Parts: sequence; C-alpha cells; structure tokens
Amino acid sequence: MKRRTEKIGERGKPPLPVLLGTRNIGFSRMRGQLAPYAFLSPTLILVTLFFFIPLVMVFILSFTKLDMTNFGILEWWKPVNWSLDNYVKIFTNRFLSRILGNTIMYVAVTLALFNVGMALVIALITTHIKRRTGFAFRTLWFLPRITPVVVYTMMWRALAGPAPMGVINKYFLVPLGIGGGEYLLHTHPWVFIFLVNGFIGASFGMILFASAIESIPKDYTIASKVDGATTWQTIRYVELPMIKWPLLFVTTYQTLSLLTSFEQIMLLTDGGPGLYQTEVWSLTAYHRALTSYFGNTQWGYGAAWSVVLVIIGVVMAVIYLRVFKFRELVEEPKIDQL
Amino acid sequence: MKIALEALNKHFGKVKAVDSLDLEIGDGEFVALLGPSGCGKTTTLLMLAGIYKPTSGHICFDDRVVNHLLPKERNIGMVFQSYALYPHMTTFDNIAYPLKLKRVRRKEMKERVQRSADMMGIGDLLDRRPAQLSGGQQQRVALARALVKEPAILLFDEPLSNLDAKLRLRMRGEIKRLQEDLAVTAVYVTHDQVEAMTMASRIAVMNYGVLQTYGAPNQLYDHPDTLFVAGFIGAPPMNFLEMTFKERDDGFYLKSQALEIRILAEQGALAKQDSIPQRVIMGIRPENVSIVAERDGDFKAEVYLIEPLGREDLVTFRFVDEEIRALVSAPFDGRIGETICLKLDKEKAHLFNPETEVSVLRTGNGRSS
Repeated sequence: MKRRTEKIGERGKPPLPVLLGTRNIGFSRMRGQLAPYAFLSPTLILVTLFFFIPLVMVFILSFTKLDMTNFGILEWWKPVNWSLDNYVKIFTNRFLSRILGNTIMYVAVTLALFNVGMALVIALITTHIKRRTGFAFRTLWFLPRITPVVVYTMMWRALAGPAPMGVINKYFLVPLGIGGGEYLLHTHPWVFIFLVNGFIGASFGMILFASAIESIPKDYTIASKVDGATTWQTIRYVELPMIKWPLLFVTTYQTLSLLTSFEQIMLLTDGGPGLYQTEVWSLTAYHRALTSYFGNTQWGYGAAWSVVLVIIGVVMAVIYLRVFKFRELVEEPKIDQL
Repeated sequence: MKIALEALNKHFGKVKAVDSLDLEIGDGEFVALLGPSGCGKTTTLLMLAGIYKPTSGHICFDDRVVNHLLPKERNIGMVFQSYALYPHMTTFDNIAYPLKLKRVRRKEMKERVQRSADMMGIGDLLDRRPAQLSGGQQQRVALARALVKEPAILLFDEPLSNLDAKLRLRMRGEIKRLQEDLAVTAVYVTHDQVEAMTMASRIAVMNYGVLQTYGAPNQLYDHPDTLFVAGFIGAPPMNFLEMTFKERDDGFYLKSQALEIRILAEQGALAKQDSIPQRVIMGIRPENVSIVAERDGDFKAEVYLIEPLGREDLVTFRFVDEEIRALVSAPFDGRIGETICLKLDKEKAHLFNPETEVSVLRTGNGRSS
C-alpha cells in the first residue's frame, strides 16, 4: 500500500515541488505504521478498560483495608495505606484449611469425574456409534449449558427437595426405602454440587473431544485394527494420544474456570448447610468482598482472596504445561532425504 | 495363503460399492486391483482386512470363510497411501505396535523390529518420530510395520501415490522384489495402470463396483475384454474409431466417413456373430499405427500435434472429424499441418460392440489365452 501511494504521487503529479512529495511519502508511511494499531484499538481499549485496569486495581486493593465504612475516606491508591495485613489474615484464618480443602475437592472431583472424565466417555461413546445417534446424544448433553444457570440450579433444588415435594425423594429414595426423605442438599450437599457443575461442565469437553476424535484420519484407526488392536486398545494407544492437545486445553481451562466459579454453589447451598461446609475459595472472596456479613463489605480483604486464587491458577497452569510435556508437543521436525 | 471372494457385495445405503465380485488369488500371488477412484477397489481391500463387513457373499482364506473374523484375527499387514504412522510414537514403537498388541516378549520384539527395520534400510532411524522422517522413510517404516508380524497376506492401498516420481519407481521395484522374496500373498490397490502392469502377476480391473476383467498384464493389454479395460490399460491410451461393419464378396470391411479398411477374415466372422454387427468401435493402440508410403496406406491424415517422449514421438493426426494417435520412432520428421499416409496393423485391431461395450473378439481372445 505504501509503495503504491508513492508511485501514484510520483507519476500522477510530476510538476509538484519535491518538498510536497516527500511530505506525502512521510504521511503515508506513518499511516502505514499506525494502521495495525487502529485495527487493534477496539480490543486494546476493551481489554485495558475491563481487564488490565481492574486487575491492577484489585491487586492494589488487596493491600488495603478498603470497605464500605471507609469508602471515600481511605486513600487506597497511596502506598502509605498498603500493608500485608489482609494476606496475614487469610493465612491465619482458622477456616482456611477447610476452605482450601473444599476448593481442592470441588475442583478435583468435578474435573476428574465430569469435566474431563465424563466428557471423554461421552465423546468416545458418541463417536463410536452411529453418527446421527451420537450427535443426538451430544445435543442432549448440551442442554444444561444452554439453560439459564439460575433456572437450572433451581431445578436441581426442586429435585433434591424433601419428601413429598422433592422428585428424587418421592419417586426414587422413599419407594426404595433409602433415607428418611430429608432435604438432600442438607444431607448430601457435595453430591449435588458435583452433579450440578459437572453436568454443565461435561458438555464443553465433550464437544471438543468429540470433534478432535472425529478429525483423526480414518487410516490410523484402520491401521491400528489391522495391526491387531481391539477397539479399546485403539482408543488407548492411538486415539487418546492423538487428542492430547484438547485434553491439555480442557483440563487447564476447566481447572481455572472451576477455581473461579461459585455461582452454582452460591445458588445451591451458599457455602452451607454447616459452617463453611461447602464454602470454596472463590465463594469466600465473593462473600468477603460483596456481601455484608458483619455490616460491612470488605473490598480490600475480598480482593486479597481473589489475588491468592489467581496465583493458584497460574501455578496450576504452569504445572499442567510441564505434566503434558508442552515442549515436546511443539518440537521442531528434523527431516533429511532418504 | 489363498484368497477367494465369492459373490461378494458391499452396499452403502443404495450405493453398490462392490457388486457381486468373484475373485481368486493364489498363494503367494501378487494381484493388483485397478480402477478409477470410486470403483470399489479400496472397499474390497477393507473387506479383506476385516474393517468392512460384506453385505453378502463370502471371503475365504485357504477355503475357510473369514467374513466374521475381526481384523486382528486375520494376520494381515497393510500399507496405506498416507502411511498411517502413529505420529506420537517413534519409529521403533510404530513397528513394534503389532507385536506389543500380541504381547510378544520385549527381547524378541526388539530383535524382530530391528530385523524388519534393517530389511527396509531404516535400522538407524528407530528413535525418530514420523514427523522427523521424509516421505520415502515413512513409507519404509509403514512397510516394516506391516511385515514385522510376518503376515499371511499383505494389503497395499495406493502406497506409492504420495511419493515423488523417482522414489515411486524405486519403491515399486523394492516392493515387488520384497513380495517375491517373502512369497507372501499380496493385494495391491492402485489407479495407476503402470504400477499394476509392472508389479502384479494378475490384474483385476474394476469399475462402478463391478469386476471388468481379471488376467495377466499382457493378456489385458493384448486382448482387452471390454472397452473400459482397453481404454484404461496402456499409455498412451488406445485409439477408438466408430465404424460401420460391412461384408462383401472378398471379405469383411470396416467403414467410416474417412476410411475403409479390410479386416482379417477371422475377426470379421466373429463380429458377424455379434448381435449388432452394423456398428462397431474399433480400438487400435498408438504403436500399431504406422507411417507408410502413399501406395501402402489405409488413409491420409494431417499432423496435428507432436509430443516427443524421448525414444519415440507421440503424433496426433486429424482426419475429417476424427483423431488418431501414433507412436513413431523419434525423431519424427513431419511438420504440423502436413498430410501423411497411415496404416493400421489389422491383426492388432480390437472390435467392440458399442451397446454392450464388450469385445466382439472375445471368443477368439478366450481361445488364444
């Protein structure tokens, strides 16, 4: 584009003074350099406004004691008002081990059983049966994700309700003589937290795994079977290694999104029914920062909980990249002639 | 191992991919399945491998029906056009894979992998991954993997199509020699008639799922049964001219707008027996068309195109609204636009019924072979 402008300038207006010509070239060159930034600017502005600035603010806030009572009084942006008190408070919190334990269990179980495990199982089954049937099943599994989360969670609350209102109690447990028809969210809160999150989470991995499995060239599976493999051995030795990338991606992505997700738990048990019984880290951050347990909303303290969560997430992502041997996956080929 | 296919059918919905195929392959024989893409040759191969179940009919290995056997129970080695080397495994693991599935002991596995890798000349590449190998090397790894379990049958699905011309020629020879040395029954799918001609002891030509003909390369070349086979086998391809068949007192004649030739009495008699003897398609290979002095010629034609092939020149002639190609010894000294006298070698002419596209000389063909 740059070159063409110059040419037109030279050829189209030969009698013009040299000075004007050079200025023209200079302008178009500058415009050429600016053009990419112009195209990037909408995203850059959005990312800056709604990601980088809040990130920096949260980071700074986490060192302050900003809350509803001193809002407008505390000059939180001044380093004088910064301290590590919030972090000390987190790590000396007597419920810390319980919250951390809850978080690890919530993420690990949901991830292993549903977001990766169940997703992989559904993807494998639906890609090894008739194409159309498989597609129909996958569509069904997508329903929890496209249902509004509040409606979806309320449906589960209704399912878990005490007899005679709760569907599970009335039609399954009571006729079978299991339990006394109590509110299942009180007796087995974790089971429902796993199920509610897992049924949403599984569809994401399922779609990615299924499309990855379907895109494996047929020759590989035929070759494997001719080489003497059963269907299971073909899956184990050929198909699974070939979908390593989506596995890495889904595991990492879902770990991070589970670490930060709290809305289903909030709607389901709100950290209860016992004291901190199902409270996870992100829910704690939310509770501290945005609800007024003790008459104030502790923005600074809540921000500190979030910052620790971000650090946990980054560490987890790095560990995953190591475990899955990221370097090996992007190795340079060495080719020479036969 | 002998292979016999009996009235084999494979339908995908309404599509008849393979239509009542009968084929026998002798022990240690090298048979090529030849045909254009979509003719059913790969479907046939995958039925042999046990990937597809036949809709009906039988597949027999050594007189034993194997329709119901899983691929792993068939003792087959297969080589693919894409090589199908598992990208996450090293060369060693790729070759060892069939042995690993058979639970062969580690020590024996190492020996056998090394042996078949050495046989293919890739013994020093065992720690590489497929992405670190050239096309030719990958092809050798694929062959080594197919051979390592000492299969009773080797299946090839266009294994040379992805190689460059020079390497293809070399691998062609290597595969043929290897198959002869190992005396293993081989079925080789290809759309390249040169590959089929040079490698196979017999060629099965398929089109639209139907077996067109099955025979030795020379037989298919010299006595093609159908118009399709005649046109498909041989490069440059056979010339076809639509003619009218006439019987006169002194013999049998073929006539078109531009030329009239007398054919052999034997050919004429056979053509006369055929149901529609008025019209026939005459096929004549370019090497059976020769340039002669005017008094010996059958007809005159104008030089339209000269394509030097090195040893010979391929010359396209035009006459009235027809074209005919001739292979003449190089260098051809004619010029484009020049009119030249041509003679057809009538003994080598083929006559086809235009309706059924079957050779009217078929009975003669049967007798001679």
